[in-house]
Amino acid sequence: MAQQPRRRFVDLHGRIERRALVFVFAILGVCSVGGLVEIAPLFAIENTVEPVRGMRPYTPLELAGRAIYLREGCYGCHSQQIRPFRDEVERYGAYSLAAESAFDHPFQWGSKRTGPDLARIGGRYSDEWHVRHLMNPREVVPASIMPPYAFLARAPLDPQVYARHVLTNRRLGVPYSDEQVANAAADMLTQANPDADGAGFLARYPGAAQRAFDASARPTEMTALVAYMQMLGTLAQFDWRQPDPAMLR
Amino acid sequence: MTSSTPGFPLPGPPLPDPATGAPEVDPNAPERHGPLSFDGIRELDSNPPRIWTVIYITTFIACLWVLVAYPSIPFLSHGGDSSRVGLLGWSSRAALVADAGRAAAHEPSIQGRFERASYTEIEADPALRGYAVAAATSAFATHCAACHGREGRGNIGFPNLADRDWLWGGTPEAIEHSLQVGIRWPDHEPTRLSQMPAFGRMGMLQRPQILDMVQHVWSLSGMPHDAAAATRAAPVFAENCTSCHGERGEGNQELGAPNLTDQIWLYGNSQQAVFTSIHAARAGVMPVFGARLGTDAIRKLVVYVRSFGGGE
Repeated sequence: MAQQPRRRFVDLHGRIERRALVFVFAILGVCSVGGLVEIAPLFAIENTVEPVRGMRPYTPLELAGRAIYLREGCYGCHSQQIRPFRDEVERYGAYSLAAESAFDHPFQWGSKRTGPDLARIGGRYSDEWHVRHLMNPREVVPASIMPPYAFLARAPLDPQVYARHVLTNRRLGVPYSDEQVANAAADMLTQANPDADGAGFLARYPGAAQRAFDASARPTEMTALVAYMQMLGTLAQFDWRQPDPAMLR
Repeated sequence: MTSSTPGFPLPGPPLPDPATGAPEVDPNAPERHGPLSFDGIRELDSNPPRIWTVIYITTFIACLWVLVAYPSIPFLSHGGDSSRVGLLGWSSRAALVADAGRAAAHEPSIQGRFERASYTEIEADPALRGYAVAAATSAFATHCAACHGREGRGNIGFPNLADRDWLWGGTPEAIEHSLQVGIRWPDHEPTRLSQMPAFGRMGMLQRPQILDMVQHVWSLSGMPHDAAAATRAAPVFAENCTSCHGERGEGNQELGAPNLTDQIWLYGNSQQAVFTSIHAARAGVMPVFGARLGTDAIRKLVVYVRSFGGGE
């Protein structure tokens, strides 16, 4: 049958559609583009995640705080990724590095900022501010629309339950040592108690902060959440104007 | 009924349209036959408008250009430096530094003057002072306003920056030092450090003594008080409190010991609040901002804080 030249494109499609095997391979070809783009970069993760000195896995208390952060859906309003744009670095601090999320399962980058970015919230405010702000955000920030989380201060933290998160994270690839897994529950209590002997804990988690993060006698979910937020972004601090080559291992 | 399904070109002679009885032919695809209409809707096998085809193909070409021009192939990447991956040599970090460099180049020469000027000169020069205040506004909102309030008026436990009562000093140099090293910031060596004893919790004073002391503290600032109780507490005050708060309770900025003779109460002046301050002691904490903000931003913040009207 005579072909009109301007119909070649549609005709090609018609011919493919009518040959099942050709059509199957065409579908596979198109779908594999999506797979290639999504999956292939994972095999190059060693090339793209630069090693950064000072990064360590979360302490058990911080990991518990992170679990509470996820449970309460903080990511719904707060991102944890400072992008390399001038307006972001001048407000929030140095841009986030891939290595800073390397131990996150799942990562908390996000793109929705109803509240501010929290990637470098650690050390920006005092512990007391965090506790009072979580108890009643409007007491310290009158214009805030964040819900209060006062119940966290009344919820005791069960070290045995949250210690298992360390093991779970190890199974997901976080490099926790056997010693860190075995001492997880004890380390959780040690970190929240300034009077406890922290030598073993600090040997396992160099540079971690050991103090009473809130005024509670026993660790609560509030303690864990404040401990988590006070370490966010503090492990890799650098001047984005002149990134220190020595920072990279 | 496959033979009457509209839209499928089927082999064989054209089928008549059931409505008219005449064979229906798609002018774009003469090989299609059969009823092309159904329920009054006529379906023809037409090419899409040329413009869509052009946009479609152009998009593919643009994608290929981006793929090779910008860093998008992770297998070629080496750590954070992605400038060698794309043909253009572009990297987001280099672009950020360039952006900041352009902004610095646009900064008025007043920045140079600001850097060379002393605090006295800055505060005497409306242009320099205005420049610093404008530059520090967003840094104050991000780092300071959460505790001290947007207008620096403080909160319970967070000092008011707009008054003339200063715990650690309100001179520009003292404010700069406080910002640089923080106040009681944990695990930070040069931080401003002092700790009032928790007189009640540590058992140094008994409950009645503390209640008397509340009356004495009230008397220092001329508040209504029980004179007999205040007199009873005077020797205890002389023994325990004067080393930091001074003989008349006038405070000591070297130690961050508050002035007790003014009418300014960081934690409130109720009996409960003053009792707790003596019983359990207070120790406000301010973070270290030296490394986080840098000296230039801190100097602008000092001028900004003093623009509230406080300072010494």
